[in-house]
Parts: sequence; structure tokens; C-alpha cells
Amino acid sequence: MSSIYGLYGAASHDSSTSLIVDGKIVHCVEEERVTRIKSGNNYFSIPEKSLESIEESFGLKIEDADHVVFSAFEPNRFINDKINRDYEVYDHHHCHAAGAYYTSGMGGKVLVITMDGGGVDNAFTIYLAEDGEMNRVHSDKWSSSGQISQVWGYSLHGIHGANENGEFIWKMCKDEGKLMGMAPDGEFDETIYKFLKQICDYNNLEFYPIDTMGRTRFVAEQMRRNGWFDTPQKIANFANTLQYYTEELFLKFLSDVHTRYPQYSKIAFAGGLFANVKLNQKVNQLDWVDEMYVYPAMGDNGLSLGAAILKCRELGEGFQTPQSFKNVYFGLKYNNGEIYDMSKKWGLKAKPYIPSQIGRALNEGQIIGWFRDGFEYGPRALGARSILVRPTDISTHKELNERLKRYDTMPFAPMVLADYFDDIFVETKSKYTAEFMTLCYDTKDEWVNKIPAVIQKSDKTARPQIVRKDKLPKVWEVINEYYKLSGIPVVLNTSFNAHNEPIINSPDEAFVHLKNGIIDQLVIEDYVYFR
Amino acid sequence: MFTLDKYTFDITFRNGVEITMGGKENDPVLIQIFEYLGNESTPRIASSFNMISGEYQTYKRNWYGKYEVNISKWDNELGLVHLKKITYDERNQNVLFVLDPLDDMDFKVWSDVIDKLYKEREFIPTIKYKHESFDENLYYRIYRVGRHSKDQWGNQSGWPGFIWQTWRKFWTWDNPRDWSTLTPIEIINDIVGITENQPNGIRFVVDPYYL
Repeated sequence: MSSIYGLYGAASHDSSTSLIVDGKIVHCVEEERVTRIKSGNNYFSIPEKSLESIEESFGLKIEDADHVVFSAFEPNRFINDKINRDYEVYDHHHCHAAGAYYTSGMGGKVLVITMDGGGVDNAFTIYLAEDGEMNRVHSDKWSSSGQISQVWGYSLHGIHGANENGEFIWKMCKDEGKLMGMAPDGEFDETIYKFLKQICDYNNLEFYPIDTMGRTRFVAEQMRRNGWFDTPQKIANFANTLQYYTEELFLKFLSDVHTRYPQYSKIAFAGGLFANVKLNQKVNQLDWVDEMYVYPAMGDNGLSLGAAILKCRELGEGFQTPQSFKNVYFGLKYNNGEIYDMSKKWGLKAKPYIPSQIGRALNEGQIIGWFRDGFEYGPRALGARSILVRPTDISTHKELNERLKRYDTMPFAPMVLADYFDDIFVETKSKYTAEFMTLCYDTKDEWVNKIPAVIQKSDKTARPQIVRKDKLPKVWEVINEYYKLSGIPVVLNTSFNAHNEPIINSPDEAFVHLKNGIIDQLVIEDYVYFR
Repeated sequence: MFTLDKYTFDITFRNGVEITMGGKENDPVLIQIFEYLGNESTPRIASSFNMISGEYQTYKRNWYGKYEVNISKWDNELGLVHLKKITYDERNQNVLFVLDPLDDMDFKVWSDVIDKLYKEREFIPTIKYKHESFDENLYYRIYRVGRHSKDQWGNQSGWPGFIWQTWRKFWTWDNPRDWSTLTPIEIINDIVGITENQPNGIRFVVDPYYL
């Protein structure tokens, strides 16, 4: 059995490092979590600090690992300066596909589809998979085709333009979610739709014309100059139309894929496009889709693990068939001793963690910082670095945004006890994917007013995380304690970070937020900290 | 130079692609530079950018590319409006080869290639040595064949080894590959486009330090 370091990041966004030892995932660390620079604020990162953090945590230097693999491109300067050993390189989209399929847990025939703004040679690929084998059957040629993801990314640059330092105010690979969150509050606009179709259209497994980037940048900038983004409502209208356009084009694409491969009714997805949870909902609602899965680290941050999985398979040491994640807590962890030592300088008090006390605090409306285990892999907080609040007050959205100094328009998301999921949400396929908060669901009418803080008002959807007792026992337990008091098997879960910072990594970063009054109490492992 | 809508354009392929835009209006246009590779019918995007009147933009390459320049404008009701397409076409044009040979063997090898090339591609060749003076404006295309040091134009971009959004990695804008590893015929074949446009042409690969 061997040790395998997987890495991604050739002066690009979303670098990361992963480590698999003896067929088991040990760590997956995104660069932004350790550098504290949001990935969308740095398009030139290399996986330097994420590698160092794993080397220190696990005690294995990269030069001593049995295998080192990159997802293309490999960062040559980093290799020359830091690594100085043999390594292998796997194709970008092949790593996306591997991350999706081999963690999907799906048996039988599976379609594996990747789609993003572009990686080396392709922006999308289609694989047919069965019994652990994946075969690529179709792909575009990135240099000569269009890309939906780039319409999103480069529209962002155009909407607010740049500040006096030349920095875009809304950024690609960072603020797409903001725009998506505004869509339900906007109205479809036929003229905007026409503009979008001019940028990129679709027919028969081909997106065209080429140069989506140049066309989007020009169109978005001219729209801004001509007043199309002058008010929040106008931006919402653009968002609504862009979402409609994205769903239309992608669902046509998916329909064409289904026509070619009708025996495949399970789909695994990866690539930045599938951070679009509304799009994912539309896919999940298709009659012919039995089940879908979105790789939790769906963007380029997921490539390092994808590469390591491919090597692991080659060696016959694991992932020979698709596995399921128990959770994605592959980040850095801290023991009680380390945490206590860090806490001393903040002048905070501590008491042992008792779930029922935190359940009561939630019921009283307190804002609870929740820090456990290794941090999550992927863009979502899933109960390792979360902020928990009761979901019953509509005013929570405003209060939480003020405390976190966030000005997002996206609603907050619910964590739901698994046993009650079907009671609350309408279409309940693909529950494994819902454990990673990558799908929206329609909410049943009787629940909309019970949990208003986590429901999108305009379309009554939510982006839930299903919490299972066997997989996330500690998270399940605290929600259950809240449920016993309130009768609501749901808590609001938002990521543990303030505005413009990545989700927190270390206890120190959590203590800062407690000290500054962003949260009322802080649960870290076996203790509760308070001011 | 030509007039198009309310603008004027001067587009030359002498050193790659160079564009000068004039006119009284301040509305930008979208310039897209495409490149056809080998026998592919769909071009690849080489570069695209906005231009306004009074600007000069370049996509400088010392080596051959079959370029196509697309010009589009914005209309607030119609959206993106295509204005014109200009395609590189060296047939019956004056093409200059500026040679910087190390020795007679270089000169012979390079001359033989040029002699064969102009018949195939139907241009009018002129050969000069590097030390000779010439008027650039007389030529449709200029190829500087030699072993160039980096930064010939002193204009190293942020990505001299890899251009975002294209398929190609290359060594410098003068030589697509590191000439210290190449024979004389490989050096000229790279520059005049023979290498990359063969049926199984090499996709130039470099090892840029900063990536």
C-alpha cells in the first residue's frame, strides 16, 4: 500500500492538495483555507501552503511519498523549487470525472458529465461508466467552442465594472452564487435573452461560437455602459434571464446526451457549472433521472483528490468501484490541548459541551459557532465550520448578514434531520447529494412559514443539507436537541466566515469571531467558549 | 486603411497582427483574432479585446499564423453586431525573410525552404540579411529567421510561455521552440508554420519557469 499526494494549481484559481494513504483519504486542503485569501481574489495560486499544511499535519514530506500526481497543468516553478522528484500528470477533466464518479457510490450504468469554463483541452466531457470503469465518449475542444460557465464568470466583471485600482468589484470564480441568488427576485427579459444567445448558443452537443470570454466581456461592459445594470432590480432581471438561459441550454444538452445513451439514468457531475444549485434542481426533477450526484468539491478545488483517486485506482489500492463519502471533513483538525492553548490569549471562558444546553441556546435565538473535526472539502460548510441559528425568524437573515458583514442576497440554508426530510421538501430524489448541499428543493407549503429564514421567499426553494445520525452524529445530536424544544427538525447553517474571507480553518480564526461579537457562543470539539 | 461604420481601421499582418483604430466616436468595438490550424475548419481564438478610437493593439508573432480578424460593435437593441472579417492571405503579396544565419549551412538550408515555400503558398519572396535596412511598409508579412534572444520587442507579456485561452505553449514570440535544441531546418520550419501545420504537427510545449 502507498502514499499518494495529489495536487492542483498551475498559477490558477482553486489550488489544492490531497493525500491518500493505503487507499484512504487522509487530507484534502484547499489553498485558500490556509493562505486566508479567497480563491476568487487570487487567480495565480499554487498549492504551496496547502501542501505544507498536510506535510506538517500528517508528518509526510512530499519527497518521501510513494507517488505524486498532478491534475494538469502542473506548476513548473513550484515543482522546480519545491518538489524535485518524479511525478505524473492527469488530464484536467479526467480528474473532475474521477472525483465525481468514484465518490458517487453509484452502481450500475452511470453517466459522468463534467463542465466548466475550460481546462487544458476541454470545457465539457461525457463518460459512460459501469462497474468502476469510465470511458470518455464525447468532449468539446475548448479552444474552438463556447462555454456557459464563462458567460457567468465574465458577466460578473461587466456588471459593476472595476474600482479605481482596476480590480473587478464582482469576480469570476467567487461571486457567481450572488448573481444566482438574485435570480428569483428578477424577471425574465427577452432582450437580455437575445444578447446571451448571441454570446453562446447550443446545438447537438456543441456550444458555439468560440471566444465566449471576449464576447461576454464586451457585451456585459456595453450593457453596463448603457444602463442595463443601473439598479439592483435590473441586475436581478439579468440574473433571472441568465439562469433561465443556462437551464435551457444545459437541459437541451442533457436531453441530447440522454437520447444517445438512454440506458443511463444515473448521473454524476463535476466542474464549476454544478455549483449552480438551481440548475441541479432542474436536472433532479427530470423524469428520466433516477439519481444524480454532484461531487462536493465540484470546482477545480476538487481536482487534487480526483488525481489522487486515479493513481490509487491504478495501483489497485482503492476506489476500484464507486464509494460513498461518510463526510467530507478532510481538512486540518485540532485537538483539545491545542485549542485550549490558542484560547488562552483571547481571555474567553470555557465550559464542557453539553448538547442540550446548545439546543436551548439555539431555541433562544443565539448565534452559535460550530467547529469540529477537519474542515470541509469543497465550498460548503457542512457541520465542521458552520454557524448555526434557529430558522424560525425572518429577521435572522438581516441580523446574521449584519454581524457577518455580508451583503449577500442569497438565502441561508437549512440542515435537516434525515428522518424529516420527506416531510418538508417536495421532490426528494438524490438524497446522498443533498448531504453535501448541492441541490435545491421545493419546500412544502406548510413548512414555508415555519422556517422562513432558510427559504427563498420568491420561489420557496431551499438548499438543504440532510444530516444522518450514522454519518454526522454530533451535528445530528445538537439539531435533535433543538428539535425537542422547538418541534422544528431544522437549523439554519451558514459558513463560518465573515465577508470576503474564506471559511475558517483554525480555532484562532473562530475565537476572533467570538471575541468580536459575530457569534454568541462557540462550540469547539468538547468545549463551549463564551465571552 | 479602411472605413467601417463610424470608425477607421488600419490592420496589418506584417509582424503578426497589428491594429490601429480611428474615428470620432468613443464607442468601443470588439476585436477577435482567430487562427486556423492545419486543415481545421473551425478556427481557434488567439486573442480578443475591446478597442476604442485612437488605440493601437497588437498580437505580435514572428511566426506564421493563418489569422482572421473579426470586428463587431454594440447596438443597444440588436446586441452584438458583426461588422467585418479580415483574413490573412499572403498569395501574391510581398513577404520578406530577414535571415540571421550563423554560417553558410544555415543560409543554404533556409534559402531552400523559402524557395519551396513561395511556390506552394504563392507569395512574392524577398530575402535580406539582418544587417540590411528595409522599409517594413513594403511587405505584407515579415519573418525573422534566426536564433533570437528573448524579449526581441522588449514586450514580454505576463505569460510568455503560455497564452490563456489558446491551445499553444511557446518559447518566445520570435521562436516557438528553444532554438538551442533545434537544427537549422527545424528553426525555419517553426517560424514559417511548416512544423505546426503538418498533419501531426507538434503542439509547441515549453517549460516556463514561473508557471
